[in-house]
Amino acid sequence: MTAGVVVLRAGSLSTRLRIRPMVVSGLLLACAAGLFLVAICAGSTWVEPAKVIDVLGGGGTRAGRFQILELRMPRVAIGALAGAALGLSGALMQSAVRNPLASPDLLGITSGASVGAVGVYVLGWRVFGAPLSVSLPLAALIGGLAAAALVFVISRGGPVLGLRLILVGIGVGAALRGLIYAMLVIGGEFDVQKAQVWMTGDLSTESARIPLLLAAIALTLALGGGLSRSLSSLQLGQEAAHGIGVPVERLMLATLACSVLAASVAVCAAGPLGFVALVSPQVARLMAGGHRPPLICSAACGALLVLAADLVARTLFEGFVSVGVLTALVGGPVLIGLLLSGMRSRT
Amino acid sequence: MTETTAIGSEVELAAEQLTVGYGARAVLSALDLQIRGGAITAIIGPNGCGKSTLLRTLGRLLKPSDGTVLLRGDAITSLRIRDIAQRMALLPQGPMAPEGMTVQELVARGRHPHQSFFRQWSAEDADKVRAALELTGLTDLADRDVATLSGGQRQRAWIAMTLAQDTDLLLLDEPTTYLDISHSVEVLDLVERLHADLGRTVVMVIHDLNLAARYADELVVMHDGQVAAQGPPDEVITEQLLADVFDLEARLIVDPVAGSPLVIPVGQRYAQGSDRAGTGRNQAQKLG
Repeated sequence: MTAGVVVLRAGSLSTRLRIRPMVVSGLLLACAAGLFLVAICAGSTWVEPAKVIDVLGGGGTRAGRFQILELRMPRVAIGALAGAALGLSGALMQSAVRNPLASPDLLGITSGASVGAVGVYVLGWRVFGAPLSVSLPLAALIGGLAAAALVFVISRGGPVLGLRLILVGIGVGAALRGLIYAMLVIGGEFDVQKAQVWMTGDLSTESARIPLLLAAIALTLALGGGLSRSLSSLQLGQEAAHGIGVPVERLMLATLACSVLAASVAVCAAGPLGFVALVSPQVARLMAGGHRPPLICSAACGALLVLAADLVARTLFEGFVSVGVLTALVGGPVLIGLLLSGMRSRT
Repeated sequence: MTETTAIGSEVELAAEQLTVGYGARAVLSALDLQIRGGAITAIIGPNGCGKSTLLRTLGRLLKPSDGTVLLRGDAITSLRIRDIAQRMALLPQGPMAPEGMTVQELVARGRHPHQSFFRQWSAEDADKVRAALELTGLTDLADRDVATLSGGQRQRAWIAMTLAQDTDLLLLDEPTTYLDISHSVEVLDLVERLHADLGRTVVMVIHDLNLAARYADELVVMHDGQVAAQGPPDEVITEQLLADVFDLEARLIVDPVAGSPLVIPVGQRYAQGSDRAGTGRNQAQKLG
């Protein structure tokens, strides 16, 4: 078969292993683990990596355990997991609509989540009367899902689902951003400042968000893994894929729903982290090859990007610049570079 | 691959009272059609007559608002898409391979309906792909990027994909679009081999009447969402039909190579009463 592919067979069972993506995802995951460790070590004081490993392994002093497990680790873990969820979300969405410029941001998820969060801060919304700390992620989650649902409903019924989704998403996103500005104008100065901080990415230390992120990532990986062959076949185009037995509409809806869920959970846990979902899958694909963004590599790239942005934000800028600003600062140029190199290779 | 079935032995694919409409406008209305197994059937007709819509509905790309499509007697709406794809391949018009995909990778995609999570690449998959590459003459180009091939080679690669799918029935939507005449003949020669050597049933939409008459065993002529005529080319293609369906004044001669009807359009330049009327006859007399 094709170079770089190993086929294993046992009786009627067979599997294909593509070497390059496996090696690349291994390397990326190792890098992410390393950066995870460094991110925990770095802070107001530098903690020796050996000490951090000791604590993560169950040892260490009581003060050390508190500093690392309660203060530093949750924030770093939320950043890494939210980045991974965004990377996965983008990879699934770009595979489903076969467009490297698709990302959950474009489907209005970020704007919808921001409407929810700004509503909580500025207008005093409370979800089921819950306190702010619980209402905030819930309102963001509901806002993101509602915006995506709205985009889906408007886009339905046309033959070119992918393109319509993107165009409708841009429109809905613009309308929602208008709503956000209107809400910010109404609000009091203090609340508005907090809302704006949230909108540029807010890696909190609330470890309750970690299992939520883990569940979203597990679900996305399971579904994405199960649909992997169909998603590969979908890259031939909707009609050709239909011809070789891919249930195109169902596949696209399931994939997009999963992508939307992963992105909404990430935004609800960490605030909108711009460009992560857009850029990570493309960087992963450049490194791992193939005809669609690889899932695990995309997750690892997303985690790396957010970990690095948070590390730089906390150390170089001492927290004055939010992580979301940095992901956008890094992600924007990376995207332009990708587009330019893509255009050059085509001409 | 498949055993040759005698032409006309069985109805492979049928449409019953098929009605398809985009919105309120019906493109096909209560259309009945039977397609014989083991033959090459070409669907022809003027632009907008519904021939592509018919093929796409037969391939379940479009849902009819009324009526049924029967695949060897089974209503296709009752079958799973994967089961249909094991029995019927469909090549859409002007397909585009993803950037950087090789011929081999494209052809291997044809095995999709035969694979599962636990059966990702069987020995049979490898055999079928190798055979499809060989039959389409693409073995030497297997590792080439599909985008670097000529138009004819590219279309052959897509047909190889449907071949690897290993179905008795193959639907082709305008397989010669965008191809010049030599590449069109190259692709249709391949289609003929699928039929002659492998006994595949082929249904294709095709624009060129002369190529349709030359390569098809049976023609289905569409007009205004209805089947205007169906049968062997030499029975179906008449000057009257060309006038009625295509709104074209034409003469028919016998294709000196294939013996099939060859359509010679008259057109205004050589129409009765124009300066050049009869030019062809005079030239022929001079040369003869």
